[in-house]
Amino acid sequence: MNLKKIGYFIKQAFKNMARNKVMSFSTILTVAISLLIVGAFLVFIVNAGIFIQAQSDKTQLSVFVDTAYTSDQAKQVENKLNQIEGVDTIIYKSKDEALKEIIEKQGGESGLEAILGDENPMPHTFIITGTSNLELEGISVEAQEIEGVYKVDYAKDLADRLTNIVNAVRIGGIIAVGILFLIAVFLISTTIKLALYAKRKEIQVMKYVGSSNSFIQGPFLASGMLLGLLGAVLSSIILFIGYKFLMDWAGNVAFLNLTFQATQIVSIIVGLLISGALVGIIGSYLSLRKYLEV
Amino acid sequence: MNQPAIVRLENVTKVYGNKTIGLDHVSTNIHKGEFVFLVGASGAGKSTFLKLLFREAKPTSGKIYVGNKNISLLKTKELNMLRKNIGVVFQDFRLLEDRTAYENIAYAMEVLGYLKKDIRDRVPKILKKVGMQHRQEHYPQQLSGGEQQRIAIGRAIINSPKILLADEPSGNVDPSTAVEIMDIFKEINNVGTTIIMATHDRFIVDQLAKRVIELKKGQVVRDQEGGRYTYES
Repeated sequence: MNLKKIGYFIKQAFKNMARNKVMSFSTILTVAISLLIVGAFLVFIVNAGIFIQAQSDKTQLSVFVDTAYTSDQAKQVENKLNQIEGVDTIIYKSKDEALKEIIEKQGGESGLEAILGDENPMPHTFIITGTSNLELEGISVEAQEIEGVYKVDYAKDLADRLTNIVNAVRIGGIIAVGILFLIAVFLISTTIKLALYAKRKEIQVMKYVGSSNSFIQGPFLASGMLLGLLGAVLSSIILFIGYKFLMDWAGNVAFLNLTFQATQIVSIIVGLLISGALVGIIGSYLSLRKYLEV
Repeated sequence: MNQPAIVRLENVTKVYGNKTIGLDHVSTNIHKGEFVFLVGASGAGKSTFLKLLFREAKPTSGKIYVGNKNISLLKTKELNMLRKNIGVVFQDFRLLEDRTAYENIAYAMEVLGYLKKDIRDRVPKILKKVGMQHRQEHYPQQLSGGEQQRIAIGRAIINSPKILLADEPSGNVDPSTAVEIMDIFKEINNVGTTIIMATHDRFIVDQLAKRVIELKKGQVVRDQEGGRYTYES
């Protein structure tokens, strides 16, 4: 296989495509749509993973002490909390600190201070992290039973729910991706079948004069690969623009923790291009095997 | 004939899928440089004989040797070599309609991977040989049957095959054109190419007076040097 021969195949592939414009275009478009969905799915999975990771890292317990408790009484609660197995760190936030935080969050001009006067409705709060996230459930149960603990909050539910959603999407996505790949392969093989039919007389002449199989098949394999690759290029462009746009938006939404990551999108695009070429080669190979007795 | 056989059939039988008998225990030798006519009624096995030689079909039993190789056993690459050494001409020409006369001949070189320069050198020579240099830019539809057959012959010999097979080459042309076409075959034969031709054309067979193999129901019923279309005792 030399370069000249490959050049000939590619030239023939472009001729095949030009000869069959409508079919080629719709094949490219279908491949593009299929791969775009695959790509969007991958972007979702990757970013959902990052998001969940960020959420779990932040998973911590907030233990609120009865508002009537003084800071000395709160200290006693802290000692008891410290004895619970699995507790890693405890950060104490006093009533005053909690109130100050709230006022700052409100922007300081909400008039909250004036309304409250000397009253402070905020409880003393302990923020607890576990030695592992798995310990949090147990800690929360034990903390609840300590005298003077008014309420225990933690974000477990959110992380769990997100993980469940992502897992469901992942399974559904894998099935959808499989089906889309099959559709793309089928379409390419149909397009190549038509090209084979259109060139049946040429193929007959090639066989009669003793052309090598690679010479007969090469242009069709190149055609299939080209269709798949062009579809992949189209989907990559759309995906890149969409991803950029989405991340610019997500970057402004602080809690999402998502930012534009070049390596991430580039590796997905490389994957799409390889998939496109592979889908094309497989599709044309199937047709060649079925319709070309060489 | 002291020359080695270029084609040898040993007890060759071909039965098609629907039980039709193509050839029935045929054994024969054809030597390098021979000009052989295959005659007989339609369905007598002439086309089968030719198809077996360039392995468009494989024999049901028996062996076929072309240049000392049992062609039933050829691997793909060897089969391609065999076909490079065998030119084929059909009654219906089988030219590519969307290519000019020149391009039809050049195509047979292109698909074997010849250099453009070699193609440009060789095609005009072949066009001249088959007397079509003045019509090279015409498409098959613009050519008469005889002219199309000349192009088909040109395509068949472009790669200098050692054997040229022809299945009713004058079947679709008028008698005077048939004579002209035979002149081309004679010339090709004169430079040493072995020609095996299936034909119904009594006039041509009688005029050329070459070796005649007559087939009937798949069997050789006559093999005669300098023979005529029908046997005369």
